[in-house]
Amino acid sequence: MYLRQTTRRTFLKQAFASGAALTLGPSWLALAEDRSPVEGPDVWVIHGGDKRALIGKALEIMFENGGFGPQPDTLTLKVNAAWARTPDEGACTHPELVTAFLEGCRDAGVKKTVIPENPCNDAAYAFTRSGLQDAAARAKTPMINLEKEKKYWKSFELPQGRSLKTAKVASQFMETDVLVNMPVAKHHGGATLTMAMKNWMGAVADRGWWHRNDLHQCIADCCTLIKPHWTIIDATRIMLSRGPQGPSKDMKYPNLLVVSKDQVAADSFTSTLFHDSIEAVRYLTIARDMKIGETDLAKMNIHRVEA
Amino acid sequence: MIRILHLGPRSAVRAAVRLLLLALAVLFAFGGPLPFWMKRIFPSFSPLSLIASALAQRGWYAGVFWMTPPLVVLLMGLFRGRMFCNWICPAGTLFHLASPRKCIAHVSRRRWSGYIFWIIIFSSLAGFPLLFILEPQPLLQRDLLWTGRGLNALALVPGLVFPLFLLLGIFQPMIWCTHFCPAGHFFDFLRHLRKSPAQTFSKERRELLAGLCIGLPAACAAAHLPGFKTKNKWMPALPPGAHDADQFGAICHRCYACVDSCPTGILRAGFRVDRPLTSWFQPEMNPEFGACEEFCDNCSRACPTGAIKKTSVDEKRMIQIGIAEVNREACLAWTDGEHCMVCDEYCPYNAIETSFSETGIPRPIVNPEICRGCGFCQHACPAVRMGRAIIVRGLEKQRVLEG
Repeated sequence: MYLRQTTRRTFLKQAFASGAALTLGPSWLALAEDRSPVEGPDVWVIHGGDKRALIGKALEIMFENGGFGPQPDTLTLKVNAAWARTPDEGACTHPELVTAFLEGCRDAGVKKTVIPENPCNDAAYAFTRSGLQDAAARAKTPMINLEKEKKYWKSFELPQGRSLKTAKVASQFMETDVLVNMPVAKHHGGATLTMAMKNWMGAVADRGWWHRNDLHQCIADCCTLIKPHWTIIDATRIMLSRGPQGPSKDMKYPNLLVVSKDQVAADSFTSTLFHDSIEAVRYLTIARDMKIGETDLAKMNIHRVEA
Repeated sequence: MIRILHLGPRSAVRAAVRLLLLALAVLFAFGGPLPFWMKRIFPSFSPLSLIASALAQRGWYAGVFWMTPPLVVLLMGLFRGRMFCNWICPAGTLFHLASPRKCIAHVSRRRWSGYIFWIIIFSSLAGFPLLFILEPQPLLQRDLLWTGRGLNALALVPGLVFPLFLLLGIFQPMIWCTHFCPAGHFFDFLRHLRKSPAQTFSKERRELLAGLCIGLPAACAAAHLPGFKTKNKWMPALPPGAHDADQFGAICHRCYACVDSCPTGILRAGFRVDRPLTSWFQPEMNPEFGACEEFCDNCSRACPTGAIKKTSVDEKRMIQIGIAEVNREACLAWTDGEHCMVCDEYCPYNAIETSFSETGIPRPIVNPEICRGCGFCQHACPAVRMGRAIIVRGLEKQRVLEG
């Protein structure tokens, strides 16, 4: 279908051919499906109703594009398991996606997988009601409640951070062969939207500090430290209001997975499911100014894929 | 009676049974992998607790499963007197173990147990079981929980009763059981009542009259006198199912099974001098330590006296135990202009509404018709400049909100 592999040769060819006629509107619906590739991050937008098929496609794409690197023995997966909400309510990553992904990783030779999370609700309710504890168990992956297991916190410096200069991050996120971020996209009362970048708040110890010291700047700062190999945003169902916890009556079902190596690009694309422009989300504009990743949709290679 | 108790474990069987039950009581209290409601077992053995709570609440508060053991113990008392004390009571076993054979010095010659018993009964009739804290089953549990899981320091104050009598027992053996225990007196009373009702009452007349003359007015005072009730003062929220703040403090006999069963730690032994005497050291919600989980009803399932009424999770979610209030001066959004809204983020019930400033900063407003007082907002509030910017004010009378 529209899955393409952009090599330098094809890029140059097509870039010369099409010139600089890429002034596309930000609405994702308006994006042309056939576009000449540009020198920017790839974002794959996988559409489909079957969650296993979505992940299957995502893994296929990931392995065609470098996969997990030369020796992926250990993999840390960051999901969103913060809330005591059911999968349909869209406050947490869908458990079916998580199981399918972890099983796919095992098949690809990853030896150890782990899901650490610092939940907002008590883990006894957040991990169970979200279905993620079971999802992880089905794929033989331990879920670690960072709220209880304080031994994993480690201090890290953020030399590029403007507000956040040091942060206590769970060591599993920093000392692993592969780091994959698998958040859910939803409305957020404080941060406007939460997708991949804001999901790292569940990986740090002191979230309160962020709120006191310019939340949006801290979200962007954190992404200068934690850089996942892959970002897979769950936009199968999205909450348009009353986030991050819901339950919301304002639900939309785009049935999408957004996959990218660039977490900022993935967030920028996903934000257009909610807003006309990335300007609506301040941490994205900060990320653009700090050059943490690509926020201009016109400078990304957006591949629309059907699963 | 003293002789019976003091003969010690003459038969090996009885000694074995008593030690086994003591071990079980310790095991249940420490819990470990056992379900949390195990902590309810020993405190709910007491028929005195059953009767006093039922009198105060004007109805049975527990199902058949939890009412059978105390009723069996009641029959045991009717036919065998202090059989419960001599075979089952774990506190009694410990008192026994610590007591020497001979009396070294008399701490008290007067027996207070009858007075305590009748004060409990008559004050329960008025709706407020006073001196309920001297019920023997929670005595030991309080200390076991305290040493086991670390209840907060305040729980230690009611927990002093047990070590105090353990100490006194060294001078006057078994002083608690023979001279103070209201439940033990209840068993004696029941046995005498079956044998010769008329004689029992003539023998008990002093205690009974004292109970009537002290218990009833004291309970009425606790319920109605302004000295006991403080009006318009801040009060902490109580666990969902406690319904009436005044009565809760009286019916709760401070076994702290709920505090220990609370997964988040919001439930703690509290103490406020400005609150009524009956509320001292009662379990209270303190959102500084946790938040009341939406889908949890552990405390109502752990409570042996019905002070926290049994509710299903669906019912519990709708109980308003308090209302949060925003202190705008302390608030990061209202005063510092930060993008915060953490209270809204954490609120499980969507009770926080947003008011946007001119510059587009979202600021929280609590909807008191939706707020349950669960404390998530307070627990998560990141403000430090003037302390938390959102505080839960407890309700005297809990409300059930409409879905």
